[in-house]
Order: sequence, then structure tokens, then C-alpha cells
Amino acid sequence: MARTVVRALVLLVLVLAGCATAAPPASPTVVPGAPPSSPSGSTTAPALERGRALLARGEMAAAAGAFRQALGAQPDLLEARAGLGTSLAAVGDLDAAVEELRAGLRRQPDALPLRIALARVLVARQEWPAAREELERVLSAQPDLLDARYSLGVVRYAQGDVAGAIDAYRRVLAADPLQPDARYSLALVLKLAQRDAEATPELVTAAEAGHARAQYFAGTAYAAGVGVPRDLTAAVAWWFRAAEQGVPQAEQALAQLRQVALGRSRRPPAESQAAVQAFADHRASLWKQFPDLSANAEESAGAALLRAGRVAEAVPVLIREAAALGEPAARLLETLYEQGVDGQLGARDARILGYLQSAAAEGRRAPIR
Amino acid sequence: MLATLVAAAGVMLGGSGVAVLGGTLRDRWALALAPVSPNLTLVMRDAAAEARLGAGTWDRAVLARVVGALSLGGATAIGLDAPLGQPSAPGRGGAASDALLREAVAQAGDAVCLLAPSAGAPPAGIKVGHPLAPADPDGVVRRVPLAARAGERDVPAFGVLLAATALRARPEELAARIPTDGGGHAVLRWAPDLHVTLFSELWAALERGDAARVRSLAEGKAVLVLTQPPGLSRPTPVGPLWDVAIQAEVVNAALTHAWLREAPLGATLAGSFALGALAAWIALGLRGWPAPAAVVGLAALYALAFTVTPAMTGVVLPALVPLGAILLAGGCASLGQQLGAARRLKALEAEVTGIREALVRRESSVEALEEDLEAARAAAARSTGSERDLLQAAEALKARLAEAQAQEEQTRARLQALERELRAGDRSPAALGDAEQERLRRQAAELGIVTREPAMLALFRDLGRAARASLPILLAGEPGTGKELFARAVHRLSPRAAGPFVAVNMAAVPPELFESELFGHVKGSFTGAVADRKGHFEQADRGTIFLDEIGELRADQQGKLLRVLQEKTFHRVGAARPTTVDVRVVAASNRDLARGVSEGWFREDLYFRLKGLVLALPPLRERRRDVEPLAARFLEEAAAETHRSVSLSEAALQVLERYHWPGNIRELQNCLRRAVALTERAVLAPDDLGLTAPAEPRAEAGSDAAVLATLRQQAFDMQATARALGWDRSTVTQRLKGLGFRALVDAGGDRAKAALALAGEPGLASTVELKLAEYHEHLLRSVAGFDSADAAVAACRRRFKNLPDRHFRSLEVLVREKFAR
Repeated sequence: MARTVVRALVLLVLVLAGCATAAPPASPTVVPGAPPSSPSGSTTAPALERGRALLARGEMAAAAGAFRQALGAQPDLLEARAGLGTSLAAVGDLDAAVEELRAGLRRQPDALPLRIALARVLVARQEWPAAREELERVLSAQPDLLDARYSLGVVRYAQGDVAGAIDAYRRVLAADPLQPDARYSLALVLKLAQRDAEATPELVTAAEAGHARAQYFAGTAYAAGVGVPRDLTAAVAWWFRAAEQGVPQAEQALAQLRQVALGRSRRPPAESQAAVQAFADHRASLWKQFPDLSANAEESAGAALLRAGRVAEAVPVLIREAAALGEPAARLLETLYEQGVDGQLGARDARILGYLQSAAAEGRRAPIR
Repeated sequence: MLATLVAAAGVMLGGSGVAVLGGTLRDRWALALAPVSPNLTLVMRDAAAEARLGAGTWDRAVLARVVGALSLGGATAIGLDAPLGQPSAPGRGGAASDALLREAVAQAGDAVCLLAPSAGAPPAGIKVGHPLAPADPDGVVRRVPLAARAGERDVPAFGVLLAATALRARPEELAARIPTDGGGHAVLRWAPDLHVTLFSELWAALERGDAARVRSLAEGKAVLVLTQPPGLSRPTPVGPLWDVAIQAEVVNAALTHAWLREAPLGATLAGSFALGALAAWIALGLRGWPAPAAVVGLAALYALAFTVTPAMTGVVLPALVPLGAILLAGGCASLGQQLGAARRLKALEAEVTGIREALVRRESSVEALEEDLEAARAAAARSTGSERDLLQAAEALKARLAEAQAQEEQTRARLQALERELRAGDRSPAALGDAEQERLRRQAAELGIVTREPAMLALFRDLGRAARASLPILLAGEPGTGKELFARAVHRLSPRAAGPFVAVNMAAVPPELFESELFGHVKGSFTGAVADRKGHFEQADRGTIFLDEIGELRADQQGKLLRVLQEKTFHRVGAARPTTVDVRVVAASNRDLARGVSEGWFREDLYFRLKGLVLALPPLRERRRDVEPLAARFLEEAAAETHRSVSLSEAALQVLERYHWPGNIRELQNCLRRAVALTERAVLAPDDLGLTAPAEPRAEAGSDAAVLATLRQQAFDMQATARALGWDRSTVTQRLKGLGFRALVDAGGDRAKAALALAGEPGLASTVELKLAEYHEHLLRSVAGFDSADAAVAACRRRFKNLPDRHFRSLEVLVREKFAR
């Protein structure tokens, strides 16, 4: 998680630095009234260049050194200051980063990139009130800075200010409706605030935009019927999509539903029946992906693909069908695993093995020797 | 009852020390462990998991995954110790992780229980239990409150909640089946080793997708996931545990129903009272050492029950209050028993004294009646005229005599019964006294006093006490009874033991040198005083001076001595300035100084100055048990002198024991020395002893002295004395009467003085005085009707015809005195 934060920080700084340097192409500084290039300007540019390169390569300690060198020659070099703060934060010296960035801001109070970088470091230090203050100052200067707006949402949630967080995310989405993270976060905060009627549509939108965890939550929303009418088949579909994107909770949710369907849980038989039906519906829905095949709800779509010789397409479909409790598909996978398909699929295929192992762990088949 | 209350108050007010003692006893001796439930697993945060997931609070997505996996694995209940009140920080997953955990909890249904968060409200839909476990007064946690009030509602104990979830019961239902103490706390039995799985192991299984491992861990079990770093440890009976681990023990106790019941205060007090009463009953019912042994035994039995019951019955007995009650009640009862026995003994003694007096009166009246009867018969024989009347009178007297005799017998029987009881009551103090006697005997032996006689040992004990108190001591006794030895013992036992001991034989001091010897002189004060000389008193400064044969002092010397004793100062002969000394005086005499005072040859003031404590050393003939050890001692000494080992034959010892030893121990010593020196034999025979006077006290039998000695020995019991002498009782009575009249004459009519002189010791004086009074009054009554002393004497001569002649003279003096008045 920390690594993700650092990566985000680096990217942000690079983007901001790029903006700052790009705006006035002739001058190395963007701050009005800054002193003209010093005689040492000739040494500044290579150090800055080196810092930029090192930062991009992730060599943070070296980058910090290069930025310091650049700042030694030219203390108001905005990019170098922001880069120094970022690289210091990245090596874990958050205190020094805050110090450098605050020092820069004292000299150049209007330098937004420094303030944004400072806000990020404060977030990393979990200093919510200070971080919120910096972010709000950034936004009052430049209200359309969506990243800062998004960060404000995160900070306000961390402060326990759910309404503030919702407001922040909504503003981001108003400016850019295609921000999947903001939508997902908005949906989560709404959900945590028990506002499921608002949360679920947002979740489904984010899920449809391809957000894996949103797909999982969309599944759970359909499964529980919160914010949408209960639809176990839709839930299964979303969970399968999330699971295939590597969300372990989705895998678990499916496994749990299978237990219900197989009557191995404490749930009432009606629920068990509903689960069986949901899986059956899901299997049937798989035919729709292959309009060229003649659909047969009683049969396995994977088996049909296999018969058609489309082995590469057949294996994932068979696995999905088996995971949706399709008995013929499961049996077929056993055979495929043992024998393969001449010239197209080797025996003991790794994907099939993965399925068989999880099935064994769930107690749906004997353990693999 | 009082002992119980005192013990209870002591325990309650005893403060932490008592609490710690009680707690330690309980945890060390009465610890009943719980079985380890197979249906509980602890998943415990470990270093490997921290390395993988971070050192602080973990991302809730981690918890979400664990909860989901455990739920899927078939866990019947999942306990979490994570604080869920606050939103997650962005660094820890933020809202996404919060939502994931909520989802996982929702998926797991109602299986998830949360340890009450320290701050903020828990997410809705999660059951919450409290982690409270107050410590007992000794700081050890033994109990948990089954429910705690939080705002509007009752929150169950986390452990109970988790167990109830696992058992698919409502926590209140489960709690209702758990025994509690008065305050709604359940006392748990602890299990030292619960089933523990490391978090890193579970996490690795999750990442591997090893659902089988998770299932084996969780299926059918309550799983308590400890995700927080261990908190502050608190002492419990099985060692220090932090709050969540304590709750894990609660789950185990709830799953195995391993709870303890504590005896409530009322039962504790009632039981303690019963035990205390039993202990008191035992202590009162038994005598001597079995009483404390039985009380301690009872305490030990209780201690055994205390140790065994928790494991066997699930009931914890209190330790301190009942044990305290047993020991206190037992101890107090023993003490009361001792005091009561002593008081009863005293009462018995008083009663015996009273009965003895009554007996004396009855005896006297019998004797008087006999005499009257005799007189009546004699009168009847002389006069014939009124023969019939006189015979009638004689018959009446006979009847009264018979009645009086019957009364006397009755009184005697009563006295004997009382004395038997007294002896029985005396048994335990005597038994205790054995050790005391042995101690005294050894102490006396160290000071050269050889004796086995209890009377002598009692004397020695009194001497020791008086020695420490620096009381003046007067030693009385026949020559050779060891007066100087006792005087030295006084010195050795006194705080002055380090000072000098100076023994002065007053009889050996020439009268003209008395002052010079005792007080010293200065040079030239008289012819022959060629140098300054310290007198005996000065030599004994800061020590003890032993004035032997003090009865031999002349009146003027007594005066000088008295002055020194009073003022502690004297003048050396010829000295102008007085000398002051600090001397303790022990005096001795073989003459009766009390008699000397009454007869006028000893100054009364000096006598009282000397007699702080009078110790009458008995003659050797009254210490026959001591003859053997004394003889052995002297033979040893003689053997050391002559380098010859000599022993006594049995016959020789019997001779020694029978001999009356007028010269007492000194005579015995000389006799044996002589025997050892003169004989060649290794074993002394009777004829080696050369005791010319036959060792037969009967030689003097019949003499007044012998009769008096026997009377004294028998405590002036006429019947016993008559039996001892082999005489008729009336003969003894006549003798005592005669002796009494003589003593009365000697004492100038003072009955008390006469009685003391006859009794020889103050203990018997009152009995003798009573007898004397009876005799005297009877005498006066019988002469009341006469006109002249001569007629009365003549009548008396007929009436007291059995009185020895030498005593009749005394009677005559008394009668004439009466008429003279």
C-alpha cells in the first residue's frame, strides 16, 4: 500500500513539474518576480535533469541529492523543491520532506505544486487537519484540480466526515464523470453511510467501467438486494467478473454461494434453491457470448465449443461453468486435465489444475494426488 | 461466633497483605484447571505476520479476507479484537477496506463478534462484547462480569458472546446457565494452553488458496482472531495475560462449562462459625497436647478440603476466614480451658479447706463428747442415787456421739472425694509441670543443688524469682541442709552474679572483732590494726553477702547489723567518714528466728528486715528420694579425690535412705567420704557406712517431737496420724491436746502464735489454730461450773486422765489463769 502511495506521489510530482516547466518554456522558473538566472545557471539544469531521471527510475536517495544540488545553486527552483520533498517522502523521511516543502512555501507561498506535494506528505503522515487545510488552499486557488479534490475526499473520510467526503467525490465526478476511482469511492462512502439506494447505482456504474472491486460490491449489492432489486444471477455474474480480475473476496463470495447451493450451510432450503437457480442461469447466460452456437440450456457451452474444435475458448468457459456448479463441465474438465486435446491442449493444464484444486478445497471433489 | 467475626473482620480489613495471602493460597493450592476445548482456536498475531502485513493496525481488507475465509471454512463463531469504530486511513485501505470488512461480516451472517471498541461506535450489524475483567483485591484477575452496561444496553462479555454464538444460543441464555458470585461476575477455571494457530500460517494458507487448511482450522469451531499487538498483561492464576487472551479463557470456560462457584459470604460465615464451634468443642473436650493437635488437625482437614473441592466439585472454599476461625476459636477455647481449670482448682482448694475445718470441728466435738461420756460414766459409778438419770444422760450422750461420729465420717468421705477431684483436676498442670520440674532440676544441678523432690524444686523456683527481684532472702533449715549452697545460687541467679559473693559465719566471728570483721578498720584504730582493712560488707560491694548463723548474733551486734541494712552505710572502725555499699543480704539460721522474736532473743525489726522471702530447707530425712542422687554425687567426688571408683550396694543404699540424718547432707557427705577412705572394697556394704545409731526412727517413737512430726506430715489429720503411728485415735488427740496446751502456755495464750509454732509452716497453721481453739474452749467449758481453781483442776485431772502428766501442767496453768481472771 505504501508503495502505491509513493508511486502516485512520484507520478503527481512529475506531472506537476511537467506543467510547471512547460508553461513558460523560456524560463526555468514559473514564479513571477523570481530573480533572474544566476551565473551558476549552467550547473542547475544538468542537476535538475539528473534528479528528474533518478526520480523516474525510483532511485530516491540519489534523486534527493541531485535536487539538493540544483536548489543549492537556485533556491527557488520550484521543480527541484517539489522533487526534493517527494524523494525525501519516498525514502521515508516524512519529517524532512515536510520541512523542505514548508521552507519552499515560505519563499514561494503561491507555488501550488509545493502545496500539493506537502498535502500528500501530510496525508501520508495521517495529519488530517493539516492535510485538509493545505488541500483546501490549493483548491481555493485552483478549484478544477481534480486530484486535490479527490484527495480532499479521502482526507475527509479519514476524519470521519462522510458528508464532506461525498461532497468532494461528487464534485470530482461533476467535473469528470469518467473518473472510476472517484465513483467507486463515492459509492463506498455512500454505502458505509448506509445510503445504499444512492450507492448501488454508482457501484454498478463503476463496475461497468471495469473497476474490479466495484464489480465485487455490485455483486454483493445484487445478492443482498440493497439499492437494487435482489438478483442472484446478476450477483453471480459480477462476482465472476471480479474474481477473474483477482478480487479474493469475490472468489470467497462465490465459494460461499456454492456451499449454500450444495446445502452445506445453515441457510434455509429456499435460499439453497435460489443459489442453484442463479448458477444455472449464469451457465445459461454464457451461451449469449457465442451467438454462433445454438444455445441449449441443458448442455454445456464449453462442451459445445470443444466439439466445435474451439479448444482455447472452451477451457475458460468450462471452468466458469464448472465453478457455476455445471456438472457436465466439471466432468469434462477432469477428462481434459488427464488427457488434454491432441495438438491443442496438453494434459495437466495449469488453469484446469487451479480450478480442480479450489474445487477440492471446497470439498466438491477428491483432492488431487 | 466471635472468632468467626474476628477472622472475617481481619480478612476484610487486613488490606492487601491478607488479600495477597488468600489469593496466593487459592492459586497455589486450590487451582482447578479447565479442560481445553477442542472447539476453540486462537489465531494469534505473530512476528511473521507483522513482517508481511505491517507492524501497526492492519488493513481491514486483511480482516475481511480472514473473516470471509473462516466463515467459509465453517467456523461457528468468529471473534475479532480489531477496533472498528474509526474510518480507516487511506494508507490502510480507506473506505474500500471498511466496506470490504462490512461485506465480509454481512456474508458471515451472525457469526462475527467484536471486542467492544475503545472509541467510536462499531459498524452496524456486528455483535459486540465487552473485554472487562476486574482484578480481585490482590491484583489477580479471576472473574469476569457476564454483562456490562454500555449506554442504553447491556453488553455481554466478549468471551460469553463468542461462546454463545458458537453454541447458537443467545448470550443471555448462556449467561443464565453460568454460576455467578454476588456481583454478577463469573469465576472461571483457567486453561493453561489453548489451541493456538499463528496468524502468518492462516494468512499463508489464504494466499495459497488452501481452503482445506482453513477448513481444518475453522470447521465447527469458535475462532478468535487476535490481530492487535499484545496489550498490557495482567496477572491471572495461570500467569500474566492481556485482556483479549483473558476473554479467550472465558470462551474456553464457557464452551467447557468450566466455572467455579465461590461460597457466598453468608455460607462462609456460617461454615466458619460451625468450624470454629467444632474447634472450640474439641479444644474444650480434650486435655493436654491432644487439644491443640486436634485443632491443627481440623485446620489441616479443612485445608485439604480447600485444596481438593475446586477440582472435584467446582466450588471454591474460602481459606482465611474458616482457618482463622478454627485456629482462633481453638486457641481461645484452650486458653479459656486453662484459665477455667485454674479457677476451678482454686475453688476446689477453697472447698477442701472449708471441709477440712468442718472435719476438725466434728473431730473435736466427737472427742469432747467421748470425754463427756467418760465423765458421765465415772459419775454414774460414784453416785448410786441418781444412777438412772445419769445412765439416761450417758445414753443420750452416746446417741449424740454416734451421730457426731457419723457426721465426721460423712465429712471425711466428702473431703476424700474432693481431694480425689482436686488431684484429677491437677493432672494437666502437673503434666505440664513435669517439663518445668525437669528444667528446674537441670538448672538446680548446674548450681550444685541435687534434688528430685518437687517441694525442693518449687522452693528453688521461688528462690530464682526472688533472686532476680533482689528480695532479701532468709534461709531456714537444720545444719547441713545446704543453706550456703542456696545462698550461692541466689547470687548466681541474681543480676549481681558478676559481683563478689562473701559468706560470713556469724557464729565464727569473735564478738570483739565483730565490727572490724564486718565493716573493716583503718590503720591504727586499735592494737593490731597495722593496716587499713576492708570489712566483709565492703568486700561484698555490688555483690551478695551471706550472713550464716545469723541467729547467733548478740543483741548489740543485731543492732549494728540492722543499721547497716537500713542505711547501707557504716563506719569502718576508727574511720571518721562513713562508707556506703550496695550489698544484697542473704541470711541463714538453723534456729527458729520467729520463735527468737517471740522469745525475745532476736530483734523483731531485724527479723522483718531479713525475711523478704523465707525459704525453709527441709532436712534430708524429709527428702529421702534425694539420698540416692546425693550419695552418687558424693561417691563421684570421693572417687575423684582417691582415684578409686566406689559404688553403693543396694543394702547400703537402703540403710542410707532409712537413716534419720540429724546432720543432714553434710553428714551424708562425710559418712560416704569416710566409708570410701576406710574401705578397700569397690562396693560399699552397710557395715562400711559406720552408721552407729540404728537407722530406725521408731527409737524416738512416742516422743512429743515424733508425734508432732507425724502430725505435721499428715497435715494434722487425726485418723491418718493414728494410722501412721499405729495408735488409737484418742491417744493422738490427747497428745495433740497436750502439745496444744503447752504451746498455748508458751505463746502466752496467743492461739495464732501457738498454732504456728505447732504447725511449723503457715499452710497448716489455720487448721491447728482451729483445733487449738476447740480444745481450749472445750477445756474452758468443762471448768465453767466450778467455784475454785483447785476444784476445777481436780475435776480436770479426772476428766483428762489420759493426758500425759507433763502436759497436764500446762492445762493446770491455763485453768488457773482462767480463774485468776
